[in-house]
Amino acid sequence: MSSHSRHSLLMLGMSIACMILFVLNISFGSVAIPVGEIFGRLLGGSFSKSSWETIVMDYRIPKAITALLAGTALSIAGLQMQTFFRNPLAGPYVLGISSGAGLGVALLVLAGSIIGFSGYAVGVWATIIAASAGAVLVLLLMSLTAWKVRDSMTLLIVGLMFGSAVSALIAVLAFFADAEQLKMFTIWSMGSLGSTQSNQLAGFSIAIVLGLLPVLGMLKSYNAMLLGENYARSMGVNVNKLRWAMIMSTGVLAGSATAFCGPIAFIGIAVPHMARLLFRTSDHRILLPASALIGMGVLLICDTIAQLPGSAQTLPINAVTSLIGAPMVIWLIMRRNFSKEF
Amino acid sequence: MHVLRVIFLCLGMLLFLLVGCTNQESIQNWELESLSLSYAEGFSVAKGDDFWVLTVSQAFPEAKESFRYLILEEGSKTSYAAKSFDAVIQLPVSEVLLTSTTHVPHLDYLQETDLLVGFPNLDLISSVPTRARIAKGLVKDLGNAPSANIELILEIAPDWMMVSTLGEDLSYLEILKKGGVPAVINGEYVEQHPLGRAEWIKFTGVLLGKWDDAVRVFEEIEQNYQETLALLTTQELAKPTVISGVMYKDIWYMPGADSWGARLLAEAGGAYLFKDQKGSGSSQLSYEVVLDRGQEAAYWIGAADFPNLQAMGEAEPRYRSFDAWKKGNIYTYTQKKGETGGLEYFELGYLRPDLIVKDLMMIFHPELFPGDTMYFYQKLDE
Repeated sequence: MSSHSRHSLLMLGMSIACMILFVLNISFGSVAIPVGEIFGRLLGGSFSKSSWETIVMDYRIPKAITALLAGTALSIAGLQMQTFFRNPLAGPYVLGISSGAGLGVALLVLAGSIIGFSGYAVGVWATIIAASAGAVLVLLLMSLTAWKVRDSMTLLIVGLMFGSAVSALIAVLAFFADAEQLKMFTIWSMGSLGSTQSNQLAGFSIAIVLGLLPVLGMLKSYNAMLLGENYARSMGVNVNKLRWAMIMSTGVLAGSATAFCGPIAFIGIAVPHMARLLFRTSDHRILLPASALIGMGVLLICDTIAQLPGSAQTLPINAVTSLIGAPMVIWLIMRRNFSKEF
Repeated sequence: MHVLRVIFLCLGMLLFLLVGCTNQESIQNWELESLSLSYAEGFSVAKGDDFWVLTVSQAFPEAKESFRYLILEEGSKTSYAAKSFDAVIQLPVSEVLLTSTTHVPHLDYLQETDLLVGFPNLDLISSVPTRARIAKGLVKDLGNAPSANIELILEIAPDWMMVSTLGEDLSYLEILKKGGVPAVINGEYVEQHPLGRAEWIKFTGVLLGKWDDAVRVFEEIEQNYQETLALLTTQELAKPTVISGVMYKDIWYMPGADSWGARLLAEAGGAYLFKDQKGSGSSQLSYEVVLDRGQEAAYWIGAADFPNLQAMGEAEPRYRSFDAWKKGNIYTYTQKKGETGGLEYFELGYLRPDLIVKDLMMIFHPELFPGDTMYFYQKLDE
C-alpha cells in the first residue's frame, strides 16, 4: 500500500473513531441514560425524562464539543512548537503561554480584592478575559524577545524562564490569598471541560479558527524547518515570518484553550508524537490534521474516564491527561532514536 | 459611520430603559412588607400577599451584585416576572439538596430533616437524624469533588438546592437554571457577627415555608447567647490573654481581628493578643512575631486536631516554647465527632454560637459554670 493511501485510510479511521468516541462520551456519565434514548433525541425525538434533556443537551454535548475544540487547539499548538524549536519536549507550557493565562486568572481570583474587584464574583467571561489577557501578555513579551533573539533554542529557553517567573508570581499570590480564594483558583487550575456553556462555544470556535489561520498557509515552511533554520532559509523560507506566525497561532490556540478549560497538561506535548508514530511521517500537511484528530480523540477518552461513568465522583481532567500523557512522554524519551527525529 | 454608531447607542439605551421599566413596574405593583433582621447583613426578607422575596446581597465577600429569589406559597395567585428573579420556588417543597454541612442543622432545627435527598461527600455530615437517613440510603451522595455532581443534581431535580460559593463552581448556576433546578446561594460565612451567621436559619425558614419556626429557633439561640454573655457582667473578671491558630511550615495562621473566630474570643471575655491584625480572614504571621507577643499568653484556643500535648510538641518542637503549652492550657474544638469523622463544630457551630461562647467562657472563667461541661471544646491532655 502506498503511503498516500495508508495515510488516507488512517485519517478516515481516525475520523470514524472520533465520532464513536464523541457518542461514547455523551453516553456515559454519572447518570445512566440509555444509548437508545440519546440516539432517539439526536434523531429528533425526545427523552422520556426531562432532566435527561438538560443533562445531555446542556451539559454533556457542550462538554464533548469543548473536548474537540481544546484537543485540536492544544495539539496543533504543540506540533508547531516542537517543529519550530526542533525540540521534542516543546509544548504550550514551554513558551509560558499556559502559565501566562494562569497568571491572568490568579490575578482575578486571588488578588482581585487588592484592586477592588471581588475575586469571588468572577463570572465565566471574566475568567476567560483574564486568562486570554495573561496569555497575550506573555505572548507579547515572547514576541519582543523573538524580535531580538534570532535563535530558536535561545527563544525556547527564554520561554521556559518566562514560565518559571510567572509560576513564581502565581505562587506569591496564592501564598497571600485566603482559603476560599485559594480553593477557587485550585479548582480552576485542575482544568474543566464541563463549565463551557453552549453560548460560549461559538466564541471558542472562532478563537480556534483565528488561531489556525496563520499556520495553514505555512505548512511547507514547517516541513523545511525540520532540517534547521539555515536549511529552511536556503529553501526560501522566511524564517522571521514563520516565527511570528508560530507565536501568534500558538498564543491564540493555547491561550483560548486555557481560558475556556483551565490549564490542561500533556495534550500539547504528547499528541504530536502520537501522530508522528502513527502516520510515520514528518510532513505537516499530514501531521496537522492527524494531530487535531488524535487530540480530539485523546481528550474525549480522558474526559470519559474522568467522569467515572456510573459513579457520583469525577476526576479533574488535568489529572487524567497527565496520568496518560506522562508515561507516554517517558516512553518516547526512552526510545532510542527519539531525538534524531528532530 | 459616526451617525450609525449614535443611532445604535440610542436604540440600545432605549431598549435598556424599556427592560428596566418593565421589571420595575412588575415589582412596584406588589405590596411588600420588609421583615427586619437583627444581626445578619447579607440577606433581606420581604413578604407579599402570598409570596416572599429573598434578596442575598452578600453571597460572597465583596459581592457587588445581589441575587433575588421569589418564593410562592401554596396556591399562590401571584403573577410575576420570573425573569427578574434568579430562582422561583414553589412551596411546599418535598426534596432539597444541600452542599455545606453548616446548612444541615437548619433542616434539623426546623424539623425538616426528611427533605434532604442529596449532599456531596456524605461522610462529612455528623447530624444524628441525618445520619439515620443516610444509613437508610435516603440521601444520595453527590460526589466529593470540589463541586457537587451536576448530572446527579439535574437527575434528582430537587425543589431547591442551597449552594455556598465556597468551593462551588458558579458557572454551573446557568445549567441548573436551564434544567429547572432553583439554586439559592447561602452567604452565611461572610457574616462576621456570630449571631449574624445563626440568623441565616430565617433564610432557610422562608425556603421551607417555616418563617415563624425559624424566628423562634433563632430567638432562643439569641436569648441563650445574651444570657450567657450577661454572666460576664455579674462580677469583676480579669481578661485572660489568648492566642489562636496553628503553624504550617514557618507561617502561623491567626484569625484576623474582624473574623468570626476572633469576635467569639472577644465576646467571651478573652484578651486576644492579635487584635491589631485587621481582616476577616486569617492573617499569616511569622513564628517570631507570635512567640514575641504570645509566649506568655494564658490560653491557646483552636490549635489543630492534635490528640494530646506530647504529639503537638513532637509535631512542631517550637510549640513547646509557649507558656500555654507548658501549662497545658490548649483547647481544641474537637470534642464531638460525627459517626463518620466529621467535626460537629464545623457543622453546628455557625447556628449555635451560644454553645461556642459558653465553651469559651467556661475556659476563661470556669468559676462561672460550676459542674458544667463544654460542648465543642476540650482541653488537650498531657
